Parts: sequence; structure tokens; C-alpha cells
Amino acid sequence: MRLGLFLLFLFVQQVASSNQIKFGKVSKEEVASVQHENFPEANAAILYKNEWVRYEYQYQIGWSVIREVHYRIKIYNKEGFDWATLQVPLYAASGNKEEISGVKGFTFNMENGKVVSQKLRNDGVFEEEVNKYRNKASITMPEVKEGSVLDIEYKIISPLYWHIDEFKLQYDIPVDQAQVRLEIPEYFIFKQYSKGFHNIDFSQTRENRSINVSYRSSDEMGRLGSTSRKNGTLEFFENIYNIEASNLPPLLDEKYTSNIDNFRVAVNFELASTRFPNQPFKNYSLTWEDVAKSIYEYDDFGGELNKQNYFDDDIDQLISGLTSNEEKAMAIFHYVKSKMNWDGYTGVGCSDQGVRRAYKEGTGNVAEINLMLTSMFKYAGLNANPILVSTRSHGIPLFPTSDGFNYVVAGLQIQNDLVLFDATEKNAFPDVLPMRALNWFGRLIREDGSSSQVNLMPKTKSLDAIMMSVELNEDGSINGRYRQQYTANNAFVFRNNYDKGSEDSFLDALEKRHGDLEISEYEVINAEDPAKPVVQSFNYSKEAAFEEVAGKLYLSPLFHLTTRENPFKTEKRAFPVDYGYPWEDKYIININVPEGYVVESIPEPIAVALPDNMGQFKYNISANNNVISARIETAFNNPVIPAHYYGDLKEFYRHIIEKESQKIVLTKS
Amino acid sequence: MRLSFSILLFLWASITFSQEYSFDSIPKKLLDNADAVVRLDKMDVVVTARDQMKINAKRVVTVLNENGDRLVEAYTYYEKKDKVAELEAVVYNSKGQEIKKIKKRDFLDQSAIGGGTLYSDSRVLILNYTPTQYPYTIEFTKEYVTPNTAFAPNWSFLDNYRVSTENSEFSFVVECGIPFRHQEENFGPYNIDVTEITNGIVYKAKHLVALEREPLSPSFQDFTPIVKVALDKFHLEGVDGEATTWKELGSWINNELLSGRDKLDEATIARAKQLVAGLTDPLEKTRKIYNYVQENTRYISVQLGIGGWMPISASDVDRVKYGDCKGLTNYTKALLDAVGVDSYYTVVNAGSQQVNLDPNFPSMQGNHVFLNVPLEGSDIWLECTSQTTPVNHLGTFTDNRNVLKVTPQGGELVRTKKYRDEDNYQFTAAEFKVGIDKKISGKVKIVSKGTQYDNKYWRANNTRSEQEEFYKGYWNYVQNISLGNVDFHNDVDNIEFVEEVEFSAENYLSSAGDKLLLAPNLSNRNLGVPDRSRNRKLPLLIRRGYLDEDEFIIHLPDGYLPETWMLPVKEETKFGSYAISIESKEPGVILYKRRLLIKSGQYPKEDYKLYRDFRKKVARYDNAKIVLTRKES
Repeated sequence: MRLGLFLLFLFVQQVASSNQIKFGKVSKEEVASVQHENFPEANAAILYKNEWVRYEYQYQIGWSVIREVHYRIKIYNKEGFDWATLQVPLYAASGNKEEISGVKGFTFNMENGKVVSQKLRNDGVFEEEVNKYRNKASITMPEVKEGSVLDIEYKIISPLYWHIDEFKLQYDIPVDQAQVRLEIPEYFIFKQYSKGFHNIDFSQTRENRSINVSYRSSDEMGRLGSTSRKNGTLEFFENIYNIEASNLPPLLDEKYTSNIDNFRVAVNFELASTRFPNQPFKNYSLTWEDVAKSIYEYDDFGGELNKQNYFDDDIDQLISGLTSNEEKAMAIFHYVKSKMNWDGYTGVGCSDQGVRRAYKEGTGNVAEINLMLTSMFKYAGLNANPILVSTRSHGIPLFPTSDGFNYVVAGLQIQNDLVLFDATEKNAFPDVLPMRALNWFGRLIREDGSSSQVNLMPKTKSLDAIMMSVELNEDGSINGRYRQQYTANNAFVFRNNYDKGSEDSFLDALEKRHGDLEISEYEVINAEDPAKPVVQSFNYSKEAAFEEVAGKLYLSPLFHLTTRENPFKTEKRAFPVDYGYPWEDKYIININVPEGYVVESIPEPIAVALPDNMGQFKYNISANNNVISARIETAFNNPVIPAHYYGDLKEFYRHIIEKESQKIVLTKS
Repeated sequence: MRLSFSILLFLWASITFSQEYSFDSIPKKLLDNADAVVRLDKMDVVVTARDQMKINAKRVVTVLNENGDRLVEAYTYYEKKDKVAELEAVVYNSKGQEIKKIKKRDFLDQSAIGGGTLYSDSRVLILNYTPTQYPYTIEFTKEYVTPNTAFAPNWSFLDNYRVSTENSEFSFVVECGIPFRHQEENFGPYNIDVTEITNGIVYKAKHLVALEREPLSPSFQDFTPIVKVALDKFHLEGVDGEATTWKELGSWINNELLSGRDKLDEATIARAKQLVAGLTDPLEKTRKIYNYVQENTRYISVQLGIGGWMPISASDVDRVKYGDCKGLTNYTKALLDAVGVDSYYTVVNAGSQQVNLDPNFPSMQGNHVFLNVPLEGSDIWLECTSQTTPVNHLGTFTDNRNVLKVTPQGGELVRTKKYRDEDNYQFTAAEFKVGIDKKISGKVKIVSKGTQYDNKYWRANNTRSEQEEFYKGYWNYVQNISLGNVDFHNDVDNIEFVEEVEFSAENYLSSAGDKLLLAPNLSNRNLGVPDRSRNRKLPLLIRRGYLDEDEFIIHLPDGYLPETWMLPVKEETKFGSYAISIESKEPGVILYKRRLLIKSGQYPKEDYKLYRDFRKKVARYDNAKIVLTRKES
């Protein structure tokens, strides 16, 4: 009876088959239309996108996934011509090659009030080996002009039967109608997830399927080498999923977003388990806990993490005589940072070379470097564990998937605090991760396979503190001493820039950034010691820094540090603003009033705050005898500002710019 | 005994080698301004047949810091018919000791499709190495054979800015008896040893110091030493060629690459004729045909073998309605032929740097083709890859340079149009109201021509949010702008772009006590001052000049009067002139006039500072404010 109930449950939702759109049959209205109904500014639109995924079985090859795709694209104007070329990425990793076939296409145009069509020929289809891991097919359509409707169809055959690519339902042009149908044999159990801000219709049914399987088997026992072809039938049921969405608005990128893909409407299928006849039920990732555990069990992760004998002597020597855990941790972190060089590759697994070879060569990917680090911490008796991370460019995985993480850092428990370490960067420091890793949550995995979520967001604000003295000269120039201190992530960014090339090039860029400052007696303190805030100081001079009008001097107290442009220009915003880490700018500026002048007026102090204590701007200024002191502080306590506060954020910047543009007026005494 | 002697010699050689690459052995002067030092750049080219060229090269680079990584240049491009026989990289530490060896199979093999190309069969083998220390040295050797002798390698003794060269050696030998030509350029101050040998030539140079990039200076290749070589008889992707003059090279292009590829079917010819029915003026016919091409084709670049040099046939373009520059140019030419207008496929070195095809050294040069239509008395140019460029608009892409016009009688070097300074014109007219609340509101009209048209016309179809982004950036000195109506008019016949923009801005004026400060230049401030250039070594080059004229009518807030009138300003320099004036138009209304002319030209390096001073003045005056005081009544 249990089975019956199960079936009943699955049959509850029945697909309502919608108006069928057939490849090669377009309506006159579609071709004649000159503008998108809901988004008149659109250069092109996807009128229809259909994807049909099904499984095939061949005795010699086994299972493969077939994905048939149909796009119907409308080109409204010349800027939309890029949509007349489709690029289809094909995986080609280690013998598992995806193949494209059955590419067909038609271009439809209006000619003298009639719809005419032109067929895509072979000379519009190109396949290319991009590199060892990736191929690419490009399809470009003939006779494309403003108004064209394109029908394009192709099929991808993939041996990666355990993996189904994401179904993207939203693009930077509107999508009128999107349909996905999946037919998945009972042996594969997938879990579905959707993301983005739009309604998606989802239904699931079950159908029986039988396939003929022909196979070779050896004849009667004893005869040598003789085989014959046999046929059999495989009976099973399939889970049928139908997904539909319509009228999806274009997804347009905005500045200061971490990754626009996080907001794209899409559906994902993730393999949860397999249930083959005569084989035990096999469970794959279902929860983040499971994902972490299964990654831990991979040889290229846990296996590599547990190796110690390649470094033990070196670490013994390194930490001998050190007593506190902090000292040991810093010694090891410093050692790995200086010894190892990141090759730029991400991923949660070590490469073929593994940690041992990486250690020997001094070069490795992120997993090799940070698993090595974790392993050394553990070897030294510290309470360390690896933390899985998804980088910013990898996006935010909203559901548990083994592809969800692509980066590893080390976490060290020091009393009640978890301190994060990333040794891929020479200038990294405990709890200062590079921007790429400051994304969403990480997952810490313990030796027993258990795991927990970790907040990667820095707790303390990164400081940019400037002290500047200003002397006003008769020729309109200023000069003085400038001292700037950076902490945490700001210091990390500074050090990376400073180390990149020669000091001359660095100073050139610094002078240019401040609009032709002239810098002398430049000095950097703690450039080599990331444990301390980095400080740069110099003497500066700058021409034409203030104005004289009719015997009065007009000057902006921030001079070249003035915020001049509102970074937020568009009226509306759909996605949060993401600064990456909390920060604070603190400027203290002391201006000496030149002899023979007195202060006629100075701007009024103000303080402005963003809602929910997200940030504040404080502007204080006072004149004492012949010194004007200004203290200006801008802070973002929370690096992510939700889109519904965008108006407040713009207004916040408006206040900053207006206040900073106000002038001090000096007049002859 | 001979054997052991040679072993000894070999051992000795290898010892000196490792010392040779140590950081300490780099002459100090080569470290100045350098992110990397090319220790040795050596290439031996041997032409064994018209269609066989063997290249042996060794390149040793010591990288001093992260910025120098890109200067290693350990890669080789290859085409289908090329054979890369050897490829190896050896890494040395700063002491010159070998730390790693990378074999050919460990180089990344990648598609080398450039931006804007959909497909090509070019590939690249590239070294993938993560430096473990600075400085480090990479010795890169390659050996390959190519049938494409049409492109004999050119040789640069200096690679780029911020990299010096310790030793550079280049030899070119022709073993098959084909005559070749060579040309040395910018050898001037450099001590480069040239030795003519039997069938060839050898160049050697030592200790070329690194150069710093300088703003507004000539192109690197215009003042650094290079050698050009070319064979009189050559081969290109299955096609033989022969040329010693531009006329001959043009003939070869015409006969081997173009001839017969301009056939169209009868229906298309009939359609072309129908398009121009009733027209007699060849310019009008040209406009019609060009417009048809722009409305019906698009740019798609596919480069396969000889297809990298030969256009796809006009009938193929007619069928698919796309092509690259060669295909679309050849197609347009075929359509013009059909309506009786002569036109010529023209090879150009496109780009804003105005690179000439060298009149003294005919060889395969150029990176683009477009179409020349000689009409009575003047040349008309058509950029067939663009769906929007007007007839005869060259812009900075193809202006003022030598190009190769291919005619059935052979090639002909001709010069494209130079924009005079005044041709690159912008006129801004504005009328604004200023409120007591410090708000301004009004309307701006901007007309752009010449190269200033270039900067604008592609924005014709901008969306509202793109417009907002643009104007808030263009007028970034005006805070809190709100845009009203925005109208664009692209006049392709007169090649003029007109923008009409309504805008207002809160708090445009600043206050100082009870006075108001008003910057009368509210919609065309030229605040860019070229970067300072210490110890300037290169001449100042202003490649293109321009002229801006502005007239702003400003209605002052009620009850306020200018306390000071900005004095009329007039600056005359050899680089251009600047003038502003303010006059009272009627009570409460002022007229602000501005004129800025920048002259193109090359000036001695000493003038750079003067030019900067001039631009600083312009920036200062453009930002200047007048003080408004309350009228005493």
C-alpha cells in the first residue's frame, strides 16, 4: 500500500499543456512587430525558449543526457544583432565530451508584407576547441536585419548523466515564454531549486517507459570468442517535470553588485540519489551538511588534508621553542604565505599534483595551499578546520549542491573566536580575506564530517584615516604633510598595489589619482608587516587648489579629497549595493589661515545617517585663532545595502557631496 | 681526443650560461624604469623555399616585479599549416640557477580568437607559469616552420615601455635565392650593428634602456628601432605572390584574392538597379547602395586559412547577409558595380594612431579594408562594417593616413582625409534660470561634427538609463542633476549629431555667507589637464585638434547682481586659444561666451609643460565662479 500512496502523491499535479510553439512556424505578428510590448527599449527579445532533457541508454556507453534546445529570438534593432549569434559552451573534460548535433535554424523577415524565411546552412555553424577542458559551438544566422525572427534548434548529447546544467530563464533581454521539460528515469533522483524574483510554474508527473537494449553476450559456455547480439527490454518509469515561466523582464547589471547571476531567474536540478536495480540506494548531497561531508570524503580534499609527512620536519623546526598557540599559528601562516604561490586556480579539490608536490614546487591552487595550511595548524596541535567558500564570481549558491563551493580557506578556533586564514595572498592577514572570498557564508567541516555555517563578513571596519595639514600659498597652491593609515582589508588592498611594481610607478599613480599632487619625502611604515596598520606619509604640494575672487579666498576644506561625484546615478535600482566589507574614512584636516586673512565664514557642521544604522556621515569644522580644523567621517557599518534603501543611499551621497563642496571664505583682515 | 674536448667546451659553456642569467649580472642602467629586462632576444629566420620559412628563436627575460610578468611573452601563435617543432621554457632564480623546466606538452594550447571574431583557426601555445619569487628569469626557445612567407617577421629591438633590452639579435637568411628587401627605422641614437652576409643580413644590438610611457607622445613604433623585411616572391595560405612595389602588391591582391569574387546573381543585380532607379548622380547612387548594405548586413568575422586574406564571395555575403570587413567591402563594391559606380577595395591600418602604410616599403601591411569611391574631384569613403557610420565619415578610425587602393591596374597609395582642427567642432547653446534656492534649470543643445561626431553618434539609440549615466558623467561637476526630455538627432547627410537635453540641478550654486557663487560654465567644462611628465623625453603630439564654441544665456535669481564680472579672458598659445566673456544681455540676464581651440601638431618636448600650463588655465577658468550679491534696494 505504501507504493500506491506514493504514486497518488506524484500524480496530483497534471501538466496543462499550453499552446504549442512549433519550430519553423512563426506568426506574421511576430515578424511584423517593431517594438517589445512591455519593454519598448529592448534591442531583442527571446519570444520563446524551450529545453527538453531526456535520458538515453546504450549498452556500450551507458546513460547519456540529451538536451534539445529551441530558441525563438526577435531582433528589434541593430544593437540587438549580437543575439543573432548563439554561443554554446561544451564541456570536454577528461574523455567526457559533450557533443552538439542537429543544429537547425531559420531567419524570418517581412518582405512586401509577406513572411519569408532563410535557412541556416553549415557555413553558419562553427565548432572550436577553446582549451583542454572546453569546446564551443557558435551559430550565426543568415539574413538578419531589424525585425528578423530567428528560430534556432540544437541538441547536446552529454555523457555526464549525473549533471544537468542550470536552466536559465532570464537574460539581459526580455523573455516572453520559457518552457523546460525533463524526463528522468526512476534511477536518478534529482532535487529542484529555483532562484530569482519571478513566478515559475512547476509540475511533476510520472510516465512509464520501456527501451530496447541490444547487447552482446557470449554464446554457450565454453566456446571461444564467439558472441552474438541479443535484445532485451528495460521497463521503468520516468519522472516528468514541466517548468514554465512567462514575461520575464530583462536582467540588467548594476554597478556595485557582487554577481548579477545571483539574481537571475533560473532552475537547477541537483542529483540527490541514485536507485539502480540490484544496487543499493545511493545518496548524494541533499543538505549543505551532506555536501560538506561528501567533499570531505573526496581524496583530493580530505585525503590531501590528512597528509602530514611531507612537511612535518619543517614544521617541527619552525615551531620549536614557540609556546603560545597564537605564535605557532602566525609562524605557520607566515611560512605558508611566503613559501607558497597561488597559481590563480580555484576549486575545492587539489589538482593532480596534490599538496606534496605543490609544497615541493612552491606553487599550488587554492585547495592545495589552504588545506596544507590547515593541516599544518592541526599538526601543531591547533584547533583548525577547512572552510568551504563560494567566490564572488562563482555567485551565491542558494541550495545545497556539490558545485556550490569553489574555494577553501582555513578556520582556526582561538578561544571563542573563529579566525579565518587565506594563504594564497602574500599580504593576507588573519581575518582579512581577499575580496573574491568575501561572499555569503562559508561552511566549516570538522574531522568527523560534521559541518557548520560560518559568517565570512569581516566584523571590524576597514579604516582609511588621513591627517593632512594645509598651508595656503599666494599663488593659489597648497602644500603640507599628509599621513594616511589603512587597516584590515584597506591595508590589504594598499599593500597589493604597493608591491606590484616599482615605487616610482606607484607614486606616479598616486599623484595622478589625486589630480596632480606633487609628492616628496615619501615613506611607508609597516609595508612588510601585515600585523600592523600600514601607514604612508609624504609632503605634498598642489597647484590651483583654491580660488581667489575679489580679494577673498574660497576653499573647500577637503581640497583634493573632496567627493565630487555621486557614484549612484540611476534613478532606480533592483539589486543591493555591495561594498564587500564594512569601512570607515576618517579625515582630519588642519588648515593654517595665512597671515593677513581672517575667517569670514565656514560651513555648518552636519551629521547624516542611513536607516538601520547602516552608515553615517559626520562633518565637523571649527576655526580657532588662525587654524581651521575639519573632521570628516564616512562609515558603512554594513557593506550590503538592500535595494529598497537605494533612495536613502543616493540621498546620503547627495548630502556628502553638497557638504563637501561648501567653501570656507577667508577675507583680508 | 676531439670528443673530450667538445665535452669540456660544452661544460664550460653551460657554466657561463647560468651566470649569464643571474640578476646581478644585469647592467645597472638597464634596471631604471624597468619592470623586466630582456636578457636576450634572438631570432634566426631562414627562408628555404618560397613556401617554407624556418624560425629559431630564443628569448630570455628577467622579470623584476609583478608588472613585468606580462613581458615574458613565452608563447607562439600558429596556423593550421605551421609546424611547431620545439617549445621549451626554463625558469631560473635570481642567482641564475635553473629551478624548473617546462616542456612543449605542458604549454597551454588555446584558441587564439581575438575580440570581435566569431571563428578562426589561429591558435596559440602559451606558457602557464606561476612565479615563485622575484626577480626570476625565463628562457624560452621555440622553433617552427611556416609556409606563409608573405609575413616575414619584423624585428623590434625594444618590446615596450618599461622593459629594457640587454642583447637583441636578428638574422634573416634566404637560401632559395629569392631577393628580399629590408628597411631599418629609428636606428638614430641607437648603436645597432648591421652585417650583410651572403643571402642575408644580421642585426645585433646591446643595452637599450627602458623607456617610460609619456602622455601625448608619438606611438612607440615611431621612435623605437625596428627592422622590416619582405620577400619579393612569397607564399600565403596556398597562394603564391610576387611584389616589390605597392602597384605590384595591389595587382597581386586584385588578381589572386579579389578577382572573380564580386559576381552577383541576376536577381540581386536587378534589385540594386531598382534601388537607384531614376538616380543619375553617382553620389546619390552610392548613398542608396550603402544604405542598403547598412540596413541588410551585419559584421561577423570568420577567418579560415586564406579566408583571412581573401573576402568571402559577394554572392555568399548576399545569401547570408553578413561578413567581415573584406567580405562586406567586396559585396558593397559588387553592388556599386551593378549600378555603374566604380569603387575600390582599400587596405588600411585602422585605429586612432594613424599608422601609415609605408610608401618606401611595400609589404603585407594593414589590418582592415574599406571602400573608396572616386567621385568627380574627390574621394568618398565607405566603412562597410558599420550599420551606422555615415557616407564618407572616416572618424579617428581611418582618417589622415596612407592606404592602399586596389585597382585592376594595380595598387595605389593614397591619403585619406585629414580633419582640420575646426572640422572637429562642437557648439553648445544653453539657456538657464537660476533660482534663489540655488537651483538651476534649463535646456542645452549640443551640435557635434568631425571627430567629435565620432564620440556621439553611436549613442543615438541609448536607453533612458544609459542617457542618465552618460550625462551625469559628462556633467560630473554638476551635482544632483535631474534630466528632463532628451532628444537626439543624427543627421547622417551632413554628418552632424544634435543633442537637446533639459536638465535641472538642485544646489548648483554654493553659498558663502549671504553671497551666492555661480559657475557660469554649466555645460562644457574642459577640466582634463594632461598628466605631469617629469624629465620629458618625447615630443608633445596633439594628434587631432578641435574647436568648441559655447553660448549660455543665464537668468539670474531675482534680487541678485553679480558682485564681480569675470574679466574677459583671452589666451593665445601655439597649441590653441581660449576666450571667455560675460556680458549683460538685459537686466537680470547674462550671456556667457566661450571658445576653445586646440591645434593639432607636434611640438618639441620642452613645450609639454607650456601646453599643460595652458590646459590648467582652461580648467581653472572653466571652473571659475562669479559672486552674486543681494541687490540693495
